[in-house]
Amino acid sequence: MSILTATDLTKQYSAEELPALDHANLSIEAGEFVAIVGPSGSGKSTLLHMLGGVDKPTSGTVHLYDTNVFQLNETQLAIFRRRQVGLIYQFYNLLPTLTVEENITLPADLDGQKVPEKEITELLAILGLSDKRTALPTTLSGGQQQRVAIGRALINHPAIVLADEPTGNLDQRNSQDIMDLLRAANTKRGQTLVVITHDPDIAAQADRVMTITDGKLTGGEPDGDH
Amino acid sequence: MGIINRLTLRTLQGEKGRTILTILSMGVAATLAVASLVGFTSAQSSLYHKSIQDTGGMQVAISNIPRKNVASLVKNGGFEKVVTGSNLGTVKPLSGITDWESDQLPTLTGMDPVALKTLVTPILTTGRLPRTTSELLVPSNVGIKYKAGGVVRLQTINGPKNFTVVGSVTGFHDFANAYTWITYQKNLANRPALVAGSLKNLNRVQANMTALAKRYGVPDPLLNVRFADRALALLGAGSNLRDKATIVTLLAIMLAIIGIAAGMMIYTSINLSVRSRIQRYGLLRSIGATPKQIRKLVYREGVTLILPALVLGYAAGIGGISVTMATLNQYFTKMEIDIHLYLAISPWPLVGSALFMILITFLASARPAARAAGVSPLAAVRDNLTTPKLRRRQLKPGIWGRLAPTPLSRLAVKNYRRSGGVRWTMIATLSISIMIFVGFTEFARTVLRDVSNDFDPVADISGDGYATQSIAKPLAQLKTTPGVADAFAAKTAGLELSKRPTGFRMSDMTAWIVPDQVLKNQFDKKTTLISTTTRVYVNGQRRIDRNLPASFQGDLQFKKYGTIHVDQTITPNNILYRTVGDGLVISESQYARITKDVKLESKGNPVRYAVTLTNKKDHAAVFKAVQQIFPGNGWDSIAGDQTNKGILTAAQLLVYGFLALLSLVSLANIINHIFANLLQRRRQLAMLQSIGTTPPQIAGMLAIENGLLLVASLFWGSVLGTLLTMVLLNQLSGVYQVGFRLPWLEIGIVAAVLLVVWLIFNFVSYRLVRRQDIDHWLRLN
Ligand SMILES: Nc1ncnc2c1ncn2[C@@H]1O[C@H](COP(=O)(O)OP(=O)(O)O)[C@@H](O)[C@H]1O
Ligand SMILES: [Mg+2]
Repeated sequence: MSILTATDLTKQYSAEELPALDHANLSIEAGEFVAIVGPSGSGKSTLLHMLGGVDKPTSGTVHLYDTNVFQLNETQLAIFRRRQVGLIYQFYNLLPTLTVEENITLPADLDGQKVPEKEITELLAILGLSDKRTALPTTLSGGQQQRVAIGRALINHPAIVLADEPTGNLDQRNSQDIMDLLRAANTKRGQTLVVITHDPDIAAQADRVMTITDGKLTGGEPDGDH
Repeated sequence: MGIINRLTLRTLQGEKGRTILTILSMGVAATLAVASLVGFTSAQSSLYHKSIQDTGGMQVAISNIPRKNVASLVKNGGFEKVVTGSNLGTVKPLSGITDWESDQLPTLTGMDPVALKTLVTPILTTGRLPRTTSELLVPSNVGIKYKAGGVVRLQTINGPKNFTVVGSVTGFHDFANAYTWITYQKNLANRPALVAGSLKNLNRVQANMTALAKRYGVPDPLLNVRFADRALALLGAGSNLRDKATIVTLLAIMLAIIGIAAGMMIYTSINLSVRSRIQRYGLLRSIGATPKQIRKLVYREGVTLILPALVLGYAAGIGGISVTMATLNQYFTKMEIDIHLYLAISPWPLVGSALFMILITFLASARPAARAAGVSPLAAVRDNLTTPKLRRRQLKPGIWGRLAPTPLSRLAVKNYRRSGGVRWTMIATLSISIMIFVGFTEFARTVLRDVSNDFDPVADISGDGYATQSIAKPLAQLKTTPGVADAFAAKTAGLELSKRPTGFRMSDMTAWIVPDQVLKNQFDKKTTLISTTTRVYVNGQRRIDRNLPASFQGDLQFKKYGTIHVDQTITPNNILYRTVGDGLVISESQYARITKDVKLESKGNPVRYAVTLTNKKDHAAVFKAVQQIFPGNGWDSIAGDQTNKGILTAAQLLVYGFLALLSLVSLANIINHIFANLLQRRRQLAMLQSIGTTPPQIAGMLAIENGLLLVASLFWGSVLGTLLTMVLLNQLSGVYQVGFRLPWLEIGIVAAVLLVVWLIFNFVSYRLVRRQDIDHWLRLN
């Protein structure tokens, strides 16, 4: 069953330039691990942001289950993001004034939910941050910070996790750790996962690879080249 | 604790320096609000207490209440305190009084000891309170015959009766026509009564009390309800509605000024912190914070900052006002000014100032909050979303850019020009701060300066008396009184011109009847017209004005008195003549001749006198001595001047205190602006350092940027401030006659302060750049 579908998704930043994303069609199945690859400036981030409801398309639609994402108003869209989408950035984008635990539970807090203690300890253990629970982000290494960001993306059990070059800023070893984590979430928790990457090794671990060149997407449908 | 609160607190804790700076600035604003409101109410109630002393604390006096209704009126009238007296009939002098001019006969009022002590003690000018039913107090303007110890025979309701005069009371108080002739009466007589009281509720006091009097049977023709109007006016409860409007307007203007200054300062603080957190708001939005939550976050931050600021404001405001009042009280005591300021801490100024500051905070946070709520989630990853859209024009090098000699100064000018909206917001708020300072300070200075020298001078002591014989003797007594430098006194008689020659503005004139010796020595034996000048304002211009011609010689025709020949006209410089005023000086023997000729019988004449002192310090003692010679209404202008001067000094102190705090708020705004800007750009500065720019170069660049900003603000602020002064003075032109001058002093002060701030900023930024950990700032995201 496909949980996320995008139809004729187009983003044009200015009339003079070619569209950053040109009539992209894709659908993603529940529990799938999808990699998106393509050269720099080809429109990968643009696509990801629209799938996550962070940016709005010039035309086209995105459906999550039966919800037409861009028909939601600002508040509904915000609630949609915090419940259904987990976003991970290349730069970890943590709040420097919150502790590791507080950063992780932030989306739940914003939703007025209390995360059970057991779940937090478990998640921290999986992330390898048990001893860093009350640390502030500035005292963490890059890899550790990215793991906090992953925790934050997973905390609300979103329908889909979108990661934009999550390892782009990390060394080889840390990169593999992060990918292991994400894959574990995918295999053990059945977490649907979309990862943008430059790294062929990472792309190779995915169930399916989509490619973007100059805003044109190929491999968007599951029955495509996979 | 909710997530919004936690985020707010953590953020504020995370930026401790800036948080403290903001709380301090807001604290100054809160101090301003608290001090203004508490100061205002304290001054109001202090002056009220002073004014109400004249009527023994009583706010209303109702005369002619039927005896049988007195008890229930006292019970049901809503009084807090009440005293009563009896109307013992009208005073018909039978003997002991030689001259009686009033057409309406006054009332004789009998009072018990409590009423006497409450109502009469404050108005007693000479003598003591009556202790028996045959002792009497008379109004002081009645004259020389009623010296203590004299016996007066009055017609009373029980027939003619002798009274011993034991003292006099002033005729100038708010209840004057309720009681002026006063005797002792232990219990209420079976006569219409007087009830004087203070009220629990001053709402619509005028209408309510009149209605009350009617309800309790005071017949319409005898309706006489008096109010302590001057005191009530201070509470905005006077009969004159404009007093209330004035108080309300004054408060509104004060609050508006505070509101604008504080609001702008708070707006700047919140706006700058919102700008520096755009990326964070973007992140929160991207992980699902709703616009409403972000807006709440900003409002919460404002409120979290204003609460401790309010505590500071209460402490500093009340403390400051107490110290100021104590200082003023000391000063008043030293100057022998009969004013005492009390600290009035009533709930409404305290609650009001808190609510006011919170309201201002909310208003000032509204725009930054909306801006924060409107941040796109993409701002989390796209730093460039925060940079303003640049127009072509801004990309070209401007005039400053072409003039800039070094690469760094060119960069500074580029930064300045391309900061677009931010720059204009800054210049606008800074200019308005400067405008408020320049405008109001110059305005206050002008008004206070002009009010302080707005009185025509008068002799040290002057007043009225009464004489039945030649005043040669009392005048000689006056002149030989210890402490008196010179004195002038004249009996007066009212003259009416039957024909008005040119230059005589009114038909009414006064004859100054002086001893023959005085006319000989001081006026060359000439019948002299004294024509004084006064300063008046016509269309905002000071002009010298007079009611009598500057030079006149010849005959004047008077009704009743016939023709009098004027030998000369003088415009006196002598302060004594000036004080006594316009009139025709004739000798006593000439007056006697005329009255005899025209068969006018005179029992006595009112006297005007004026005295100068050898040593102004002796004014109180001399005043007393003069009162013995001429009992009646006297004016001690040294005491009056001191009171005026004291009140003016107090007003100046309060106004300048207010302006000083106001300026501090503006200064806080400026400091906030440029330092917040510095902190916000640390990463950019680190980047410049990383590519090889030296700390002095960077500090220089910042100095140029801020210099341009401050110069632009100084310019616009001064222009707007000058305009504001002009508008304000123009508004006042009907009340005070004040001239406009360019506010160079204020502009100079602002320029000097800005220069100091700029220098400090340069020092701080240089140190900061030199010491900062470049790596730390470059890694940070
Ligand atoms: N805010 C923006 N305004 C204008 N053009 C943009 C904006 N964001 C991205 N672009 C353009 O869209 C294209 C795709 O960008 P992006 O999706 O970030 O590429 P990728 O993530 O694949 O490197 C690029 O050409 C980029 O210049
Ligand atoms: Mg990208």
